[in-house]
Amino acid sequence: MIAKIKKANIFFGGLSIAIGTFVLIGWWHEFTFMHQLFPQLHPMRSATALCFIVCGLSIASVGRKMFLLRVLLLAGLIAVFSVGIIQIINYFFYPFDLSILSWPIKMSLASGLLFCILSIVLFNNILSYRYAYKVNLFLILFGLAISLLAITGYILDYQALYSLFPFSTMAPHTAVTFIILFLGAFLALRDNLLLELISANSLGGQYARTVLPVGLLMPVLLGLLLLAAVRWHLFSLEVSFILLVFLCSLVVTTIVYQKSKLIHKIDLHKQKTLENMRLLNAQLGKLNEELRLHEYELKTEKEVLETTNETLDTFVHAASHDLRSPVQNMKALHQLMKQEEDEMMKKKYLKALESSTNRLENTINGLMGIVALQSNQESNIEKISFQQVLDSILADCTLQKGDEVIVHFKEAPFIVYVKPYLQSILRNLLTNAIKYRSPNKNLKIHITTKRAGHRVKLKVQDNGIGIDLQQYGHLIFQPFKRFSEHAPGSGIGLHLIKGMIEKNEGTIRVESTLGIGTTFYCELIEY
Amino acid sequence: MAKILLIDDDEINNFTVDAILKRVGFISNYVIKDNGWDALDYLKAVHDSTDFPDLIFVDINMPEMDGFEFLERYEVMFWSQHPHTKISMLSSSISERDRERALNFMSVSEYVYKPLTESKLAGLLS
Repeated sequence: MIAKIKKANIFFGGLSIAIGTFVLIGWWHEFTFMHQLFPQLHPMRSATALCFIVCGLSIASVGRKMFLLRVLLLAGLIAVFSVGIIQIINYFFYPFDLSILSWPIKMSLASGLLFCILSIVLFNNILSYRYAYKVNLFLILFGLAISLLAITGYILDYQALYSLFPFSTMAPHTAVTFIILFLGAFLALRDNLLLELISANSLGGQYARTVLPVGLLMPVLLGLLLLAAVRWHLFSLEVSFILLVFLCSLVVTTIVYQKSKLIHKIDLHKQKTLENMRLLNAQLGKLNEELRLHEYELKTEKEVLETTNETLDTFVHAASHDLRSPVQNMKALHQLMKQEEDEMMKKKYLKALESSTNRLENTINGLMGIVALQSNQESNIEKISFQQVLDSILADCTLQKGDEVIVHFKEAPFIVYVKPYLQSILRNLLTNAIKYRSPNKNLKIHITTKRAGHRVKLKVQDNGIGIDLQQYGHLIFQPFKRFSEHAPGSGIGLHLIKGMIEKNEGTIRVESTLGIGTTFYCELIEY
Repeated sequence: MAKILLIDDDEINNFTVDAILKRVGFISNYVIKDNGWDALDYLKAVHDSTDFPDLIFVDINMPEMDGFEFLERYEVMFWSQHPHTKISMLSSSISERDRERALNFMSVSEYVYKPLTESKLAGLLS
């Protein structure tokens, strides 16, 4: 929209060039009507017509980058300014005697002043002095006002208006052309904030579009109307003046009231919207907080899942290995045995075969334990005697002469627990103690139980080789981790019993000193 | 006549391999170590390069130092001086991941599934 309006400057510039040319032709061929219009009116001077052509050109060519054209226009504008300023100086100080006939550059004082103003504006505009925008706008409005006054004077036939003291007379087509030129200059003005405001698609733009024309035209039209009424003797000048003042104030008050109401409504709406937004924002913040919390929970869950997955992966991997290797050993031994003749060697193979079988059985027992741990064991809860369980386990263990198992079950001889779990826990701790025994002393195992309400503390202490907890402490309850070469095993036992104990919030921990021994502390929670 | 080093923590496996090696004729000497540290110490102690093993069997699953860790150390310490020594991974793992990882080592030439038999051994030494 604004771009379209701005293009109208070409039209305005072209129009003033046409008028200037028209008048010049009139002077050239002595066609009086062309430069004077009507015999009783003032004529437009040829100098004025020339200046109009220069100004029209510079308005129409705004925005064109041709260097030569710009230089020529600037020179022309300087000439226009000089002509204008000569008129002013001549009027006030009479240094030159510029008679119409001998000096073709003679024009009226008003024209001279307006040309000065116009040339300054156009000069600034061509050189893109942006800071001059406000000055330019003021000058344009001032020039427009003077030319409009002159036109009004012709319409109303008040000579005072078009040859206002101290201005001398101005031709009607000169005044019209000035109006055209100032309008063109207004449109061609760079960074024209006023034009942008008027054409803006905003509340302010809308307001300006409705109020500005009313504010500009209403007093003018009313004044003209009342003046006409006075002419026709409908009422006196005083009455018409009072009427003008009252009507103007009435119209202005009405407009201001209407617009204030609108602004008030809009502002209320805005405040409400802002309040709503604040509320929504607060809600959003809360939601965000919740979201973050959920995210955190999800992340934790994901981590747990990943760990579980990893454990399962290691488990399957190791289990397949632990199941396969004894079977393969057995196969190889069987093959060897078939080909062997020597009875002594056969016995050796048989012994190796037996230990392979045992290992396989151990692994399978471990796997059974895992299956048991996964399944529901509620039906196996009963009151169990520690001594009984221990006896059944010791029957399978191979203790050497001089080894001792010292028990202290007096404080807590019984526990209500899942029987397979308790068997597994005790068996694993005992076999560990036996496996990792010190090679050069008799094995001593202390087993102690203590009761605290529903909790039973079980302590299993040995005098074996010990574990380097600094190095392996974090791995000790992981599946398939073994820390010594000196004993066979699948490395699943401790992982398994930890799972069993922790199933109902119990705990297990270990203390150990290399060369002195290892102690496991379990806290079993009764079911 | 080939010289062989076997590294495995599984006693029974070592026992069977021992029995097999005793039976075949084309082995001049063989050494069995039950962990990687001992094996590295043994290799370090070999001064005469004609005594260096021609074939090394390494198990993957061993406590303290597993087969892969042994390989990393071996490649740094010995491989450049003894490029003709073949290394066979010996494993009962059926995991494809282990196999790939093993064969990615420059020094590893074979991946052998347990148990080791006379025919497999003959194939490796031919």
